[in-house]
Amino acid sequence: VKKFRLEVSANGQPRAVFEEEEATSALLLSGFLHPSLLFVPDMLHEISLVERRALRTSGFESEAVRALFHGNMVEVESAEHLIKRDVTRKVVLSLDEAKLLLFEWGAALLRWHMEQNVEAKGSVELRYKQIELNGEANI
Amino acid sequence: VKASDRKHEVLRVMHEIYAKAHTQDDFTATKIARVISISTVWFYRLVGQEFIELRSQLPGSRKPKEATIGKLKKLIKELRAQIRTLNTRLKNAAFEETAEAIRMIERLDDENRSLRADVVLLRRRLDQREQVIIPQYQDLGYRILRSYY
Repeated sequence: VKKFRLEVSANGQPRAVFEEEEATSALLLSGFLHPSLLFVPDMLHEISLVERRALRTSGFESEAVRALFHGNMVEVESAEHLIKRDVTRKVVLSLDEAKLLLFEWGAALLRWHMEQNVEAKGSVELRYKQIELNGEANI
Repeated sequence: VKASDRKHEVLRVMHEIYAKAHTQDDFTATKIARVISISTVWFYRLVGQEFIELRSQLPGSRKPKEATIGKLKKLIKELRAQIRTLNTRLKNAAFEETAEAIRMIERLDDENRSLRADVVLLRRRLDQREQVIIPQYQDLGYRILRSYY
């Protein structure tokens, strides 16, 4: 199982960091796990369609990568605009590996979003407390 | 003294000096004329032809050992300088050739990478002829690519 940790990037978006992988693979795998909350269910649905042979292939394309889901594997390559710089970048995952990664990423994303909500809620509650203490009105 | 007697005397002395001489340096007209106490011009007039014949039978002048070694050292120095120059030229030529070979390798590598990238892009274009992009109700930062049977 490929291990990653969730990190918040400079633009405030969460991203997966693969510390145990070789640099190229780490970059592609990080690109493979898109930070949108809808991404994981979307991709799991696409994989299931391929597995059920409803589709020949499926996949997605983002700013960073282009991933193709075949019946037995997932290919992750550099996005088209990055190819001219390095054509050798490609990672192949088994379907099980890809699904497991997606599950783990989905769970990590949800957890992170929940933590963000709790923190936001906590700060609102703290503000209420301060207002009560200071006797401020008309929030 | 008759001229013929004088000539005999000069010839005798000349032969004595010739017998002791090792090189042409030891057997010169000036030396012989000095021994006989006559002028060099007169010496030549008397026995010039004989002197020239005898002298030609002796080896050339012998240089002192130091002079010969000095000359050889100079020659060695010159040869070393030539070797250094040739070595430098050879090194420069080899360096230039290596640099040119590296430039060529880099150029070919770039071309190779570019061609490989073209192949990948063309393969994608072929794949994309069969792929359908699924429209999404909002921009999620990715787009789904499906290929149907």
